[in-house]
Amino acid sequence: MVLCWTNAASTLYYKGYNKMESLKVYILIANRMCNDGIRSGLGLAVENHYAFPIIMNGEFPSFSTYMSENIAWVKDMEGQVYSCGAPAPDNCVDEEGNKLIAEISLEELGEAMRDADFIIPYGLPKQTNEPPAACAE
Amino acid sequence: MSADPNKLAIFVTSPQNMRHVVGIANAAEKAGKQPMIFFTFKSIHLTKDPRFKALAENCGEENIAICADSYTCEGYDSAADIPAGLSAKQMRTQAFHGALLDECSKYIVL
Repeated sequence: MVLCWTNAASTLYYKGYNKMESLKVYILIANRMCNDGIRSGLGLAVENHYAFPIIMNGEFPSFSTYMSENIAWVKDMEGQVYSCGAPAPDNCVDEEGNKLIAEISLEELGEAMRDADFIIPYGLPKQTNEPPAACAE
Repeated sequence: MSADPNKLAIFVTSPQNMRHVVGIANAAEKAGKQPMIFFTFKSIHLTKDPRFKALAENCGEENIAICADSYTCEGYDSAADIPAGLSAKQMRTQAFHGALLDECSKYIVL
């Protein structure tokens, strides 16, 4: 259970009338099941927030085209999916072959999150045991 | 839109915290605050908890929703098996989470 807090947020004027807050949201994903945290980040990105899903465990699934497109979309919306403390995977790339997931150290992440409006620990904790083959991919 | 100081957002992603979801929502109401709750990812299994219906009815239709995609991904039927206490309009998208961030001045993840 983690309490999050609000910070000063940038302001976006939408259609010249309605004032909306564009929030910086960091989504920390400890469990190997990272796809839904990224999807949730994309949901916030399309709502005009800046989403930064962080894969904390260094374990990466085989990325489907759907997930690679989601990760690219987060980037297009001025967010970024990061891998913290482990090399970004080679199997999640754009059309030019560039890695879509960026790397960030724990120290850099700590600094970056000073500007966060929300920090969200997403899903379940990291597992200590290896998943069986039935659900490993 | 500025955040309402009388609204508490509860964003639920884990299926292990129903006791806290119910307890914090009840405590917020007793303190005169309005809880707004969104269930997503594995937490949608909590819609089958016997405490869910009362929680949903207590919060009111505008203030509680679940992610319909998560519900479907976990094997439930989001058309024919809407959780007890919810209506079809409460089967929402991640946009509801965005609304929580905008509307509520306090926020907790469970």
